[in-house]
Amino acid sequence: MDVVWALVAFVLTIHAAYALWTARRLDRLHRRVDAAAVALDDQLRARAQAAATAPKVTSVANDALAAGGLGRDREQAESALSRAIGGTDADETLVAANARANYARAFYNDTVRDALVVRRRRIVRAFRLAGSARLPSFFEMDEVTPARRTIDV
Amino acid sequence: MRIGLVSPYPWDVPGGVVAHVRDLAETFVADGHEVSVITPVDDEDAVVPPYVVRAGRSVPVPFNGSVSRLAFGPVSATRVGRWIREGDFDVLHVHSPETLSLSLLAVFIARGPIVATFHAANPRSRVLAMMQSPLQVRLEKLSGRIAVSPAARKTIVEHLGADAVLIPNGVHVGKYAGADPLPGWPGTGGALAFVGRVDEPRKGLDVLLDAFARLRAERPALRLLVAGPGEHDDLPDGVTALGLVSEQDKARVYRSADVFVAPNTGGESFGIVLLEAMAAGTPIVASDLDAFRRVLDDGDGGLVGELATVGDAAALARACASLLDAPERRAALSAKGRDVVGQYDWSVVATEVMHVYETAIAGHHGGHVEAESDQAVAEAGRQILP
Repeated sequence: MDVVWALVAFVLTIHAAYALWTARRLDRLHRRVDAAAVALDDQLRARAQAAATAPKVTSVANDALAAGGLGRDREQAESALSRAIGGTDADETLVAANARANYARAFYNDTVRDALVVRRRRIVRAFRLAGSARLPSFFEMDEVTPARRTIDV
Repeated sequence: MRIGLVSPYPWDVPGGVVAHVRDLAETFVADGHEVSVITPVDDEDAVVPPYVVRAGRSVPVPFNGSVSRLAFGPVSATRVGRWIREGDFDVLHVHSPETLSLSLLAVFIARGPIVATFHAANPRSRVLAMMQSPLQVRLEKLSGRIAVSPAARKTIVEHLGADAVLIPNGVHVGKYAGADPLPGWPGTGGALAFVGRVDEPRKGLDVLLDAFARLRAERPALRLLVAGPGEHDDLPDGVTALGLVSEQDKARVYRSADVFVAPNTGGESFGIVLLEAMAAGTPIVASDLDAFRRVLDDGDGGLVGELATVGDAAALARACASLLDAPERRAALSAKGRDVVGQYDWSVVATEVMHVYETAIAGHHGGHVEAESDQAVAEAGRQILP
């Protein structure tokens, strides 16, 4: 009987240790998602500000600046801004701001993916290791790369 | 900006990743940034640029079908920890952290804005498959991931379940465009050039030598210029082997040929030699590899050069002949190559990398790169022992 209890205790200890490790990993991932979300918001805002001075893009850029958060409205406003930038002769500042926004989105979605993979684990769902943290979601947006940059040889 | 770069491979052994790190470092230095590169250096007497910090010698490890020389262990860990503390970097940029190397060690040890570039394309790596879960957890730390090619990106998506943005390898276009041909080259009898390790089967020199023999049957004056380290026993008449050449001479080699040949048989993630040939304005014949096809894409549905079936000497000879016999087509390809390669100039590529740094730094609210505690550094050194 003692052997059985020892075995049960052993298995429980292993599970508890793994759950604790996963919970800490998930906590780190959530904090990374939050940091990446702030970075994405900053870079999108910087892009809209750079675009607001460009002719023909101003109103779309202001719409993007007015849309807060990283929800559906923002996605649509930023996609519209991407398309507007694609149709204009963007200057160097806007090209750079646009590139940074695209990278920030890619890196934000990377951290979201990392977090979702762990959130889907059985042990996370069974023991509610995610706590009250909301499920992170991808930021979907149309992207443009204005005028393929190059040098003359 | 203060930039810390980590190279996994020894500085004094020629290779694609080392060349990439060096060119990136020098481009940033020229732009006025403060750059420090930590790297293994095998030869204690080797002369290294002032921005290089030595992390000790490396040990040979079989990887990706060839032997890589890597450095890790407690001594390297201590040096990397000290380098990070003293460097006070705004961003840390590690190269190929998927190998058991200085780069992975730096990821273990550092905190803050860390960017990684993945170079390798290896569809079936047992090392990566084995390392998958422990690596995945460590690489979650990265603020930004870059792949140099779609093949490299595919490798990390499949092995690490992570994605990366694409920023290609760069080339100093001006250095190649302005180089003088070697004395007496290319001459009037036709000249081919090959650049790469001569004793590395994947580089395909033996296929080229077979094709060269076929071509020479009809063109007795045809010559072949071979530049790259390694021993080869029987080089036939008409072949000039230069061995390992300096960067300056390598640029001159490309300019010394009517046609540049890349007969590689596989394992190529990118194809930097093709960019160098394009920058030099030399028409290209290359193996029909995905990576090569992509670099040779002219953006208008055409190719900058001729492709030949991989490993097929007869096809390679036919492709070379079609260019050797058509000077106007060579001139057209040369012009097109110089047009296409402009987007790969280091000035363009490094700007993109800088945007990635800026994005990574923004995600840390201006926080610098820091080292974990001494205890964690020592632990990293032990953990990463093979």
